[in-house]
Amino acid sequence: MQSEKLKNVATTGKKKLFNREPKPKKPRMTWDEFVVNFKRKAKQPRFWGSVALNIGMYILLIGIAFIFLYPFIFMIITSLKSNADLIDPTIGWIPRNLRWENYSMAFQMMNFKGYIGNSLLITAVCTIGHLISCTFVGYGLARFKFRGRGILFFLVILTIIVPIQATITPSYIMFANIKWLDTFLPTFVPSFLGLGLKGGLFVFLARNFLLSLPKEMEEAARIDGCGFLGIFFRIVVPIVRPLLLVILVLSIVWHWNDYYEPSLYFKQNMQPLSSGIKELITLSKLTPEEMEQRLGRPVTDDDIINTATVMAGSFITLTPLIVMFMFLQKQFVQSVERTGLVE
Amino acid sequence: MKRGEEELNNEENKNLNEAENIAPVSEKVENKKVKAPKAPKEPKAPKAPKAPKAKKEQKPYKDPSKFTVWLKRKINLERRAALEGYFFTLPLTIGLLIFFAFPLGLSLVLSLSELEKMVGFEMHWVGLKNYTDVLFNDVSFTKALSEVFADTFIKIPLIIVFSLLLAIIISRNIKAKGFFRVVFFLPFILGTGYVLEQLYSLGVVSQALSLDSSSLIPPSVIAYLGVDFTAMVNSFLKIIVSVLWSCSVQILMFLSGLQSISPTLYESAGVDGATEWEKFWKITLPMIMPIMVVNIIYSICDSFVNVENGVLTLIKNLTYGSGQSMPQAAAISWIYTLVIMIFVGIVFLFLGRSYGADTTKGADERAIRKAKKRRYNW
Repeated sequence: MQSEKLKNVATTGKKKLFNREPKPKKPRMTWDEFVVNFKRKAKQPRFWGSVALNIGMYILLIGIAFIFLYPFIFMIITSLKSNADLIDPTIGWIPRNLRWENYSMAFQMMNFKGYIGNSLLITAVCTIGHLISCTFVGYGLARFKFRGRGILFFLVILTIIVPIQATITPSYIMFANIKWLDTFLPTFVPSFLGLGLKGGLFVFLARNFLLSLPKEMEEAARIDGCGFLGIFFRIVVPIVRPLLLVILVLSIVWHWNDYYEPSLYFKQNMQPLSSGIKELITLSKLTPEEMEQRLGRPVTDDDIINTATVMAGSFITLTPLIVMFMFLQKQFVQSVERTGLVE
Repeated sequence: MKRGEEELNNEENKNLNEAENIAPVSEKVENKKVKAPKAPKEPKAPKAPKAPKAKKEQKPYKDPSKFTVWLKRKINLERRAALEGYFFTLPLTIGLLIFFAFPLGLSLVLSLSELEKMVGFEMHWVGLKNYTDVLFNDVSFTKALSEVFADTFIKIPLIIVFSLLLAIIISRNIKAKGFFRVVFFLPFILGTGYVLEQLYSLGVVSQALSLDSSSLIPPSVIAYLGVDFTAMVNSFLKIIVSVLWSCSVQILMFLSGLQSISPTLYESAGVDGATEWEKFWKITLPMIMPIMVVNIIYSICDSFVNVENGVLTLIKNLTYGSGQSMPQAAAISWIYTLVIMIFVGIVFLFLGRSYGADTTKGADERAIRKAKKRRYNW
């Protein structure tokens, strides 16, 4: 019985973290009330100024939102254009006829079936690695005093600052020597050690978040006889839920879009989806003769790979991320606010 | 020498830190003393009364052996914390040694030598030749570096101003808050990987805000203004768009900072008759300064590590492309890293000291520690 009660408390606690209770709705104003209210407000000294400010604010916001949305909309629309529509300068935005074949074409030519599994595997394993290792290490850096902590933290910052190109050649040679090339290990292992793609950033983030949390709960647990691992798994991990969510989203996005390391370390059949887009881009730049050589038969109208196909491929690649972000959006933004993020 | 000093200091310190050092230990001992008799009592209540008696006979209180006494004396609370700290950071330490320090060291060696064979990685020492080659004989590196610097200097103030402005607007109680937040995060999803490169190369990103493609201004007006003027405005708009596209993470950071400012400050300022403008300068800006510092440093790192950055493409070309020369690439990357470190260090020196790049709640603790260090010269 008691445990059930506790469970209930725990689950409601979780829910309250993310879902605020709905505010009681105000009864809607009638028109007359609105007019009266407006007249009263208009007499106040700074009313018209604030109205102008509000309008300016919304114009700015909508303008900037347009700048951000423009390439995205362009991508979707272009991906549906036929070859004739692409060339025709009179067609600005709306294509004459939607060409859905671009998508099936992109699916085929970017080897979607072959690459999606790799992409999922790399993203999932590396993200799990980051979730575990970065909280673990961040907890160590935030809560315990030991000699060399400052140096360790400085090195973490250094991993953020040093561009990956600076160390990529020696690490390639190293991986070649220990025969890790053409396996997934070069990306998996560092991510489980708190490094990997932007791992330093996550460690930094975890440390800062844990520094801003109160210590008292852990001290209480220690006095009650909880071991240090128990404290970490039973007390710290449940508290840092928002941090985990932030790391989850950022890490998924970065790993999904990453192409630099995979293109170096992995075999052709182990590449993620982003390298499929690269293939599409190179194919779209081929002349018809080269294309003929590749296919081994004369090029028909259906074989043409153009910007529309590339855009379709890009949209296919980005769709999982966008869907994920739509679902996690609310929690994510709230978590970001709670984390005192980011770097 | 250091050790001797430390020991001396420790001795000096013992008296001063007595309260701190001894208190936790004694607490611990007390805890154990209290616990020990409790332990057998607990099973008594629910289960049969016979069992604990037998247990008591089997396990009388042990006299602590010399070893445990020694261990207890050695492992006080501070040392235990240190050990646990080492345990928690062990993965990072291993990772840093293998995957960071080793390649970095190897690249240093590489930059100081000439490659003879790629296969076995045979090389011989040539000293600073690669560095002087890169710095004085080859124009491309210094040119790319100066370009990157100019780019950074122009963009970073703009990024900070824009992201602060947008964050302030979003943090207000506006309509469609969620929508704008998602949209402002969109560049982050698009902004890594090939997709954005493709969009950039098509010129789509900057098309959103430029005179040529705008339908708001009639073409006759543009023709009247002249080619030079439109080109100038267009390049300016291009910079603004690219700045906006690299704002998303900074907006999130500022948002979190703004959320942490207590609303009571604004209320009391409002009661005292402060305008919005005054509130911004007197409350928002000082309160957000620590995050601003973090933001500036993040933006600097971001713009230096950016994919489209000239120096990095140079390194890439030298490593894999035509005119291959790995030692030179290593030399360039080392110079580049040092330059970034100096740059970030200067920023820290000017801003970080007064505002503390990462101050939240550990600040007072840190201040105490610093004061101690200064006083006892640890």
